[in-house]
Amino acid sequence: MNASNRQLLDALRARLAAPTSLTLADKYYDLYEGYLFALVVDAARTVVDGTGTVYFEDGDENPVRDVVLRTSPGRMDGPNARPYTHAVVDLGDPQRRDLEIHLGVYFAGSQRVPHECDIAVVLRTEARRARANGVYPRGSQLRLALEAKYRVSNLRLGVGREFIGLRSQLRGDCCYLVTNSSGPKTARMLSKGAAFRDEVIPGAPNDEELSHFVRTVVRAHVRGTEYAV
Amino acid sequence: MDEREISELDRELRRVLRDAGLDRIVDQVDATIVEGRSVTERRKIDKSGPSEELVAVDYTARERYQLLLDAIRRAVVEPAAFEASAEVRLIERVGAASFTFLDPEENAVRTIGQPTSMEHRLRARDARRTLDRDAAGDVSAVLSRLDPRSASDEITSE
Repeated sequence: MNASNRQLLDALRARLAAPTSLTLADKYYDLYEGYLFALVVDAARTVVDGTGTVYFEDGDENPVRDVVLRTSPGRMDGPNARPYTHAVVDLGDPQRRDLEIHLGVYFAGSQRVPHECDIAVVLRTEARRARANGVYPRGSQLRLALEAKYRVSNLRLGVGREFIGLRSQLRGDCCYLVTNSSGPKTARMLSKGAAFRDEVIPGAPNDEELSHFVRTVVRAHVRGTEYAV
Repeated sequence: MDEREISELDRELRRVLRDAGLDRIVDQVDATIVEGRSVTERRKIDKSGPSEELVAVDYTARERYQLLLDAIRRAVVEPAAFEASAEVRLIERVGAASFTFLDPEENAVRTIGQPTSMEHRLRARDARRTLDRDAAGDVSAVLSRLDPRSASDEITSE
């Protein structure tokens, strides 16, 4: 091995050995979901800027500035939901078509089974109905659902198969599988472009592409139509 | 970078990862390698004439090495970028003061930004703060120089 490559490997070894620098024991699923939540909230903000507003609320619908995100999925209602935050997309619309953006909450599927949505954009009326009555929000009221998969290596085909099951239970036309990784086989199976976004990472073209797509979905909702695959 | 050099780097890189306790990265890459790739080819197998067939293709040594580099980037470099991007979007653009990941037992796992309420400040006391973005940047630079796809290939070849 040449000296230059040896030096590079030694530098990498030293960096990885430093105990506090990168906390490598973590698996970072939460950070990936947090990143996607932020992407969706920010994209919605750009659509309603000037006419409406985006702000955060806790589970009791109190406005907050300290955002609290889940590391495990949970229900939208009940005492355990109180500390967790969602974003409200206030359209300034008297027809009450405001939206909420949630991270890691359960929705009722078509077979009356709860399913986790990693990132969910749902009608605010539906979210309030769920919180007020102690029921799961209905998957039929979703406007966008992102299934987030943070993976170190390529996405295995089984993830795509599971996602097909999830789509069949929720509103399939607004469910998307999003990953930081690549998955050529999954892309082929799900017909890329329709329901699958891979290599979505900050600074990459697919980050902007997903952001543009979310804006399209929210804009369609603002206009009173629905974006669907 | 020739094939011999790539095989050598692949072997050494695996050793570096295992020594750092990152066996899981190597194991996940190996699972991808075992799964292999597949391509569609037109083959004449049946009497009726050529047909579209799905054919398994093994990864080359160069591709296996690139899978390993990509995996290290995803495991070590990307999380700091997720965190930084969420910080810009939620705090700088949307107006949050902080964001905290809270586990089901209501323990704060990680807090970014400066909480405004006493409740959140207390919670954030024991939480992890931001990842070391400089360290992630250093690792990214090293990986780029070890990557045969990058322009710096000439620098590392003798």
